[in-house]
Amino acid sequence: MAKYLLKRSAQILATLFVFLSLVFFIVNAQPGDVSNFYALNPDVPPETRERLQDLFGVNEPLWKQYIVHIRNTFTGNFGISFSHYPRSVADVIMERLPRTVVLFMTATALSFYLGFALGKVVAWRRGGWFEYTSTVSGVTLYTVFTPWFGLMMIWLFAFKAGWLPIGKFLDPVLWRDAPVDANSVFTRMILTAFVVSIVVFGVFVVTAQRRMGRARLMRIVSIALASLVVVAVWIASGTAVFAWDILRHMVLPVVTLTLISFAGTMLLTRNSMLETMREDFVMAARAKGLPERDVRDKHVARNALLPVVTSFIFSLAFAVDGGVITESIFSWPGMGQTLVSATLTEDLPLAVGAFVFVGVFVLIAHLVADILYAYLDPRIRY
Amino acid sequence: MKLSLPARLSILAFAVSATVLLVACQDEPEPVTIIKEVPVEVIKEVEVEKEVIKEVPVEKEVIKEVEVEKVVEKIVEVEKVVEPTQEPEPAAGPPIYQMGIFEEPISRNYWNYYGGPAGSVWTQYVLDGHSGSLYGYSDQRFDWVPGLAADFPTDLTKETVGDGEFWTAEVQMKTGVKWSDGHELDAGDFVFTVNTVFDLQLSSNWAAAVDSAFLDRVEALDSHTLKVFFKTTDAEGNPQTPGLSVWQFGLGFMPVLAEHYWAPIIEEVKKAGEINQQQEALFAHIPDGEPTLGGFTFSKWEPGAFLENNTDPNFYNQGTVVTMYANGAYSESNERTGHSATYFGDADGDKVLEYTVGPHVDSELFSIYGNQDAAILALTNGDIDYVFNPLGLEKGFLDRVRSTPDLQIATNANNGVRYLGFNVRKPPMDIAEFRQAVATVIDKEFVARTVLQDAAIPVYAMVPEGNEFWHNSDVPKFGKDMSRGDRISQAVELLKSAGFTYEEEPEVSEDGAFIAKQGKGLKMPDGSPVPEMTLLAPSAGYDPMRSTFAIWVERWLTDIGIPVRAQLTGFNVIVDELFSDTVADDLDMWMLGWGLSIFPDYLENFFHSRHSPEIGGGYNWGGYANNQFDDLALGLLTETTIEGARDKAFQLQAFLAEDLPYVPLFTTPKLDAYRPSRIEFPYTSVLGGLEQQNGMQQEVVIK
Repeated sequence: MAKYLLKRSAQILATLFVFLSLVFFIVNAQPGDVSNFYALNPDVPPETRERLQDLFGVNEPLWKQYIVHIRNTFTGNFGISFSHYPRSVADVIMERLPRTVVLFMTATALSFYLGFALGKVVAWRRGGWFEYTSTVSGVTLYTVFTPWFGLMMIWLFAFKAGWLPIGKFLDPVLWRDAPVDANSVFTRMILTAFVVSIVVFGVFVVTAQRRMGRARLMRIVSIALASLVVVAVWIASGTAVFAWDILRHMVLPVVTLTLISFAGTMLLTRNSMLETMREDFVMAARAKGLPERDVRDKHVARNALLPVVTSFIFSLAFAVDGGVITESIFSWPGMGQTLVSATLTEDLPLAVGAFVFVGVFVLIAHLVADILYAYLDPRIRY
Repeated sequence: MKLSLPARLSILAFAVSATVLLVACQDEPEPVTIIKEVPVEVIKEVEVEKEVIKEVPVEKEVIKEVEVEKVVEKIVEVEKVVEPTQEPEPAAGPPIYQMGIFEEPISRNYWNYYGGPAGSVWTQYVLDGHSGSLYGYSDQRFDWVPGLAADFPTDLTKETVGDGEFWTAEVQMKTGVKWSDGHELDAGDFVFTVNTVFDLQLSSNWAAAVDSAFLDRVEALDSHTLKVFFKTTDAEGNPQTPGLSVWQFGLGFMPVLAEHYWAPIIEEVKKAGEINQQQEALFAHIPDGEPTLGGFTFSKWEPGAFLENNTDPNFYNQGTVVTMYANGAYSESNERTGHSATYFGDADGDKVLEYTVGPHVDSELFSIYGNQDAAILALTNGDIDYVFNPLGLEKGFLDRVRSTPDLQIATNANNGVRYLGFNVRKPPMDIAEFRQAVATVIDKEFVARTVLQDAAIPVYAMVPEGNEFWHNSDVPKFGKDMSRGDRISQAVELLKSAGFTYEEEPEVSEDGAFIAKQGKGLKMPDGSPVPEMTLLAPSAGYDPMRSTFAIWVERWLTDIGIPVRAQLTGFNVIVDELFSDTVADDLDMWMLGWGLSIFPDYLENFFHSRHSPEIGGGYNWGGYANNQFDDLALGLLTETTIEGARDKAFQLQAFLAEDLPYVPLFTTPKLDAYRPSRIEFPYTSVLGGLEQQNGMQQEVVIK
């Protein structure tokens, strides 16, 4: 295993190097540079453009810029953002990342849960009316034109019904006098989600060997208690109202993302389930007289989980780049919107930095997925 | 009764559909349709019969249609779409002016905004209420009026001081003007700002305001008196005079920053090393409690979400009543400070504008949206009162705003021009008749009115018509009001008069409405064939209007035998080409646009030969060089009287419209959407629209 990990790490490093080079040259292949945006003001002396180019170092030969880029990336220094001058790229990314993580991790987790749950049922009731309805509606949503769907969701539930806010991640009027900034609330939300996940995982582990009815009761009580504690802590901290405001703003994008993406997991689960259902151990389980629900959830679904988990890990990794379209439509200033605006304004350090950040995340996710494979499936040995 | 799964799903689907329908029908200004859900009658286990009763509307929401109000002025038309159906409710809570922007400001550091990479229009909006200058433009009419100055400066005088000779002028500053932190503004603040620009060699707008080629120094004679020293000769020893663009509209417009806040910071900055590092250190400073002068102080910035400015309780101009008279007089008076002044004549006769300077709000909120679509949706939903649209309102957004009952659109002339430029270094574009022929065949009216449906306004002079005082309407207008046939005939005549010849001349149809036969084999006066030329223009994705124009220009030029190919490409590609070292050889024609200032010194910037890339690295990309024009343009820069400058600006426009280094094509109307049921502006008719007034933050009133 150690040898395999070492080998994989070396491969990942090599891939990262190729990726860094590609990102740099592709981004730099764009015509013009950031100074173009200041060039066309007749009140501004022409030499200003050259000064800006000097300031940003964009008039250096490309190979020099490339060496600086590689060196900086491996030393964790992505440089200064042109469009947020004089803030560092790392600073901008760290500001945008929590917002994207909260939104997209939530949406990813929800869509996988929904997709997995539906996929199980669809596979179990194969050929039935439920399968056709779920598949058709799921695939329709999966292939829908995302900007249109997002705008329709806003129009329907925010604009016409007025139930939810139109875009953004907070209400400025509420936050005018807020004692905290939005990012600290986002960070606390991530921490809360992490703690709750640990608690839920722990509860499931502890109750796994107990009888079904008792285990379910214990799980419900434990999760309810944990939720109460979380709510109480948030209220006591005085920031609950701000977290609630963010949650309110999250509903529409999360629902939209979930609806758009759950079908992928659903179909993957269905296919994996159908393959597993043909295995002998399933027939053996049935022959033992186990209830159908137990056969489905404990024997088939668990074994069908492997490709779904892999897909989930990759989705979580890609969640850090946000959805360019979703973030733009819902005015959610996360990594996706940052990438777009950095590219449009020729903010090369920020664009490269954001791409590299996402790339590193995805490469790490591949490594994690490999390790998880071995953990989840004892048959796999490296 | 137990229903099967399909039956349950059917009922669920029905309920969802009904909910969606109900939601969709909410707030529609049309008869309300109430859809009632009735009990489901189950006949068999799987069959469900549904009955939907549509009731007759019981309620009808009435929209009061009001007549369209058209303020017919020379440049502006205010269109009232629909008046709100109800009286506006009083604003709850403290009055907050809520505006929408769809890009993040870059920095709050004024040095960075005015002279560094933070110089975006979005930064400009949020910093509008943070600074003041000695002089400024009056509202709406753009008269040159004192701001922090107590009166106009003394006339420029040639004076020998020590070993040197200078042009000097004195300015008396207003007394009692306080920064937002309570410190009194004095002449030292102005001197400090100028010296900082010099010491740190700041560029961009700072360099434009503090022109080191002219300005020698500024001295504080006492706490509120300034003396300005201009050089009498240029670097080569030639005599020079600081004209309006250098002094009145240059240094006079420079933002003044607080010495007591910035001096210690600048001291630290100067220790940073080389001049570039000093500049970086200055731009990197994040102001904390910076005193301001313009009516607002920074309050809070939540990146990606909003920025808030609070009202400055010490704002010197708050409560000033500004009155403008039909006879041209301008007067201002403030009971609180006792300040009173009248300029440009006697304050009597008809008043054309009167308002009280604010701020009339407690704070202003700039909400940041992901894109224009989201911002417009927020405006129509009532979340904000006004949206900044620096690139204009697209038709789709315009229609949406027009269909929203309590929104209004102010339509104004824009102070900008989009043009077709020639590289006049290369034949045949170096021949004036060729350029005139091109201008003649371009039917601006047809494209603007018929193709673009009045989204564009044809222009013939380099100063747009909206800039009334400086615009010369009496310039040569090639092709104006001509039929297609006449245009072609005249263009051919112009070409032939310059020595061009055809193998096959173009022929016009009998009715003169279209071309019957394209011209072929056009040869230049030296007998060589006219080479194929490229017209660089922005693609439709960046600017559909310019790309449309480019396609038509290509067609019309091809009709008369001029081989031109329109290359629709990215904005950056064009700018890159213009700034490239090979511009003189590679460039043929290009189509871009300029946003312009009120004072038309840009005419010199664009066309004086000293601004050719190969000479001075300036904006004269086409390499236009004409001694007569150069003299006139320098005359504009050194002119010290408004009337004299106007006369020169008129001559320059006429010269350019005849010689045509650019063919001015069109401008666009400036459209601003706002919510009159919640906010009120003292006026909405203004060149450049509300947007170029930065949303009138100091004047807006919350109802």
